Amino acid sequence: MNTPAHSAPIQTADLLITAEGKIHVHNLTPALAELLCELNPRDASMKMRAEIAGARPADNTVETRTEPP
Amino acid sequence: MICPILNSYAEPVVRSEARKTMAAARIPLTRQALAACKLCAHQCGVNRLGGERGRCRAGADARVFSAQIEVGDELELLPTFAIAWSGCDLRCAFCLTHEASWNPSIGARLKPEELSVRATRALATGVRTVMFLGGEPTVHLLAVLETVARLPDEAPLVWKTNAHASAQARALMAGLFDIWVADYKFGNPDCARRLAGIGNYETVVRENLLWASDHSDLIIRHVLLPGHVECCWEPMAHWLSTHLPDVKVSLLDSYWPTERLRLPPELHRTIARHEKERAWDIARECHLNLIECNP
Ligand code: SF4
Repeated sequence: MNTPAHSAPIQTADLLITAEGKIHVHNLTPALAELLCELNPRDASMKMRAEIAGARPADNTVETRTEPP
Repeated sequence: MICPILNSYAEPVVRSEARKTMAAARIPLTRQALAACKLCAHQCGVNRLGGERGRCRAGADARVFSAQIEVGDELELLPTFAIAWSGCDLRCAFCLTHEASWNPSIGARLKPEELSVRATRALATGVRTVMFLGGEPTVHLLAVLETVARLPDEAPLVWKTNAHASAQARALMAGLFDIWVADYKFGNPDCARRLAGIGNYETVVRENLLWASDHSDLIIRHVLLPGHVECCWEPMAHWLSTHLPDVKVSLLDSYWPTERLRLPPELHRTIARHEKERAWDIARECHLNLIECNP
């Protein structure tokens, strides 16, 4: 609990790619899903997530990360 | 009113009044509850408004460590606008987000007005649900209600929780969330005590799950832990088959050991293939309504 009260929010996603090519990821954003799907097109779960991400109309008005106070 | 929730859910949550009104009416009660906080099953009774801290270490202030569109949860909820509040009442040894989840000082003080504007904008671009999570969102129920009170009544809301809430907290959120996504982590008291330091885990989590299934749609999520299929998943699966036979169960093999934590020896690896297969077999033997599994 030593983090200062004004520290910035997380700016990264946790990611693990196993030797067999399976991708585990936490905080999966649409952009990351699309990227990981390109990396391993055989990962069916990631493919579905990338498709869901891609089906949503593009929008630049939604900020996707919090800013430090 | 009837909230038109997701197509895949047959039974919409029926509300006697507008959700915004219900949430707004509970804000003063929730603020008052912080003066002797018993929002989660730890029942600390501390005055968070007066600067005291309970086991979650959270004060009255709520911070958000991420608010963004995500596609990592159960497919039927996606895309979701996920709002993650910092601070948690549990300290699970294997928590992937650990410090960001546990430390209530991390993140930004985003006002409910701003969060609701972002969420509403995301919904307008095709996002399917708004998800409230943490850490553990129960800890910041006041900020949650202040946000819900500003969201459109018809927005499908997801409560993603560790299912360790008190009866008081459940009463304050009754009728507000269309779907609970509840973690069921441990299948026996010893593992709950050893890996999360919780004494009465089973009683509390089961009480929460049964309540949630009566009050909303429910997805129960279990992340398989290496070495814990027999001691945790098996008894859990049997309990679910008896008490919540039709509930949706999301059985995940996504655990991985993070180097940032001091882990118990059995958690230094990912789940083995034979363990996964045994877990799916147990689920099938118990006739569980599995979603999201990839054997
Ligand atoms: S939310 Fe739970 S852990 Fe935090 S002060 Fe309240 S009762 Fe204690």
